Amino acid sequence: MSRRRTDRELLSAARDDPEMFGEFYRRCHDDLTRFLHSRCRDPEVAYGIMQETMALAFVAVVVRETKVREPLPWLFQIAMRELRRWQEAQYLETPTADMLDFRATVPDGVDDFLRRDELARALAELPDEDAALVVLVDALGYPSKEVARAFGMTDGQVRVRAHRARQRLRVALS
Amino acid sequence: MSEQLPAAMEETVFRFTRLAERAIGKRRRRRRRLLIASAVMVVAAPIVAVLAWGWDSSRPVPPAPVEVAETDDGWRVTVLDRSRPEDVVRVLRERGLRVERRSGPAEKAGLVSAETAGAEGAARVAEVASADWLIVWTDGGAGIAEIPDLCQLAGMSVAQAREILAGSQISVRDVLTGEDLDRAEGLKVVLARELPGEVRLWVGDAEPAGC
Repeated sequence: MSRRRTDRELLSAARDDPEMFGEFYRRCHDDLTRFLHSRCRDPEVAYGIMQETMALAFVAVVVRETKVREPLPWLFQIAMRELRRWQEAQYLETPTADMLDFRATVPDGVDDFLRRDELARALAELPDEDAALVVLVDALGYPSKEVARAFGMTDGQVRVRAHRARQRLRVALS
Repeated sequence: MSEQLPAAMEETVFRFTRLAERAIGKRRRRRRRLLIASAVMVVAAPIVAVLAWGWDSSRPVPPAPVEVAETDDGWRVTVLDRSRPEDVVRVLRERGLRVERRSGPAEKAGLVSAETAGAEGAARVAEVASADWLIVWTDGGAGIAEIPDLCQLAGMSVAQAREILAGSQISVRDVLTGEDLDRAEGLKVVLARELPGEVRLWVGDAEPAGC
């Protein structure tokens, strides 16, 4: 039985193997959509930003052959940037996804899928970056050192902020 | 999770896969084209250089006024020159020189041919090493870089050539620095070596030095 590839290996292989980016998309789809929904509370926006984020990642990795050291933190940073763009404009723009001719309409069921998630609702109460740190470190199990590198923080800062965010989540969920 | 969401996800995965196939294929084709272009360049560059060189050397060159001292019968003579081999041989024979036939492409002309007294000429030193005489000349447009090659062809160092010319009217330094080359257009520089031992050298119409 072959070993499961790491995210970094997947993205590295995606430069030459057409199947690999799709696999990466499968892995990230749920977590990224949930995370985005927790921030914007709008399934359509969350799904649209997720598609735009993945389209941007695709262009960077497959078309421009960018090397990515920490895939998920990198992806979340793209997502947060797109989220901020949406928050500022209050208008969803997905130029890259449009360019790649992705389905723009939200599939049926995404709403239920997201609304069921209590954790997502609790995450919504946190600042964007804290929520991203919790998702990456606690939900996705990324080493705090890698997250720190991707977010331009020290390892200690990531641990402290994730700890405080966890405490707030615990309160929100109790 | 409802059925629609995974279906939408798989549709996007499928779309990503098709897009990746196109992007990767395009990149591979571009790299292959670059590789082929590089290979063509590598192969074509020397050919173009040789053709350009050949073109240059094929320009009409006035027949060399062969100011060569007469040689004794039985001496073998090898000539490297920019002039057309036929002209050189004709003049040499008119002057009573016996031209040794040698094997190789220039056999018909009875010469060891070299288009210039440059790198190729230098490389032929070994080939002509068995000759009694090595006569090399070039026109006044000889490049400075050729002078050391000429000396090498004559089997001497630049210092030796300088020493030999010390008693003559010709300054090797002038030739070496190229100061005389322009105004001495058409001047024939002849460096010759007689084996064994004695070295003779002619420059233009000057009397043989070192005799």
